[in-house]
Amino acid sequence: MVIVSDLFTDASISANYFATDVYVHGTLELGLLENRRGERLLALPDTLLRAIYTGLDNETGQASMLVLYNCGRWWGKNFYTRFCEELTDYYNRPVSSLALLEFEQALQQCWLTHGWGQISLDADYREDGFLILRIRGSAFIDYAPKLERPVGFMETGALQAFFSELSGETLHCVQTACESLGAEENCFILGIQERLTMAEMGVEQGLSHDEIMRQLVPSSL
Amino acid sequence: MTLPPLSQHILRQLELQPDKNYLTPHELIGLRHYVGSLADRIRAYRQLREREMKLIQELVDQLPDEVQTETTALEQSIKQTILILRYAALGMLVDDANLGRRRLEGWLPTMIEVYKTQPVDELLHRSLNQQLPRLLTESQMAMLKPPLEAAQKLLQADKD
Repeated sequence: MVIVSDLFTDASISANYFATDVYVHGTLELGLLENRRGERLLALPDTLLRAIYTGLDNETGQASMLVLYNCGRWWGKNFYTRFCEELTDYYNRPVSSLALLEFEQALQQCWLTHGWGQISLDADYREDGFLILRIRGSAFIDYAPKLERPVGFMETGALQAFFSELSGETLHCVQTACESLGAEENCFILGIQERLTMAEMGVEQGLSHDEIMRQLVPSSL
Repeated sequence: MTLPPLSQHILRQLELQPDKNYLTPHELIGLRHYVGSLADRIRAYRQLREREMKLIQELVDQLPDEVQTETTALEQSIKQTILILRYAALGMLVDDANLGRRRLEGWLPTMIEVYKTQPVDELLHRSLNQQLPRLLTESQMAMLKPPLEAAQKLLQADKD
């Protein structure tokens, strides 16, 4: 027999924490945008984002890819900490107790609400040691300078750090499809570095995401 | 997609831009209609708030035994039912039929899938829809229905 009132220690029920219209708050008179915990959010103007890319390229040239990737790693690591703190406080249970789908839902909603695009997880190659992430409508990629290779350097670093923290293993990340090259969505493969060497070579040779996956997991097709 | 954003609560439905113009006669009629029904909306809201626990407990008690033993799914389904009812009640209060849908649509289908609540949800909501007219007047029910149905639609979305 389930006693309904016992299900609630207080009157609140956890739901969609990152829901857009409750997550973003503002004390606009003070010039502050905040999330629902009162932590500051910033609207990043696209012109600034473009300017960062251009400035980096002017000052550091080729190295800007590496700089952006490293910025992404810092972002991902800190984002993971904050993401977990917020979810743990809200659900009142550790993030590790969430089902994979629940975790994915929270990440998707979080990504969406911050305006970073639509992210999704594809665990089809989990057994083979790879996790695929897809992002549609990425602002970071949209404003990046066009090159003849995928340009989601910040996201590559961020996803790598985020999922390394999550899995407790040092993971590597390779972007294999990019909206800047006409792909419908950006694809990122996560896995152990040695096993991703072939993917990196594939990207250099201009292979498609599917071709790279076939090389990584020959049994897949 | 050029769909207009899902409807908003009453004050958001009005163009609050006096620098452009006064509210239109059409907007004023809408506002007057809303204000006229406000006392009734508040009574209905209060009724739902006060009766929530008892109502939901009754629905749960009527569930068949085999459902009662699936505790995890049942508990999650109860929480979802209460959420939907609360969103519907608030949506009715502020005249925003899509409040629940907006907040829950990116989340509820995942929970239904993870906790496999769909069969229980169906039973709970069927009897919820039967019980609500006993708590509310006809006019209150008519105001609750749009936000309630909009939120309940999310429960079916997962079927296909």
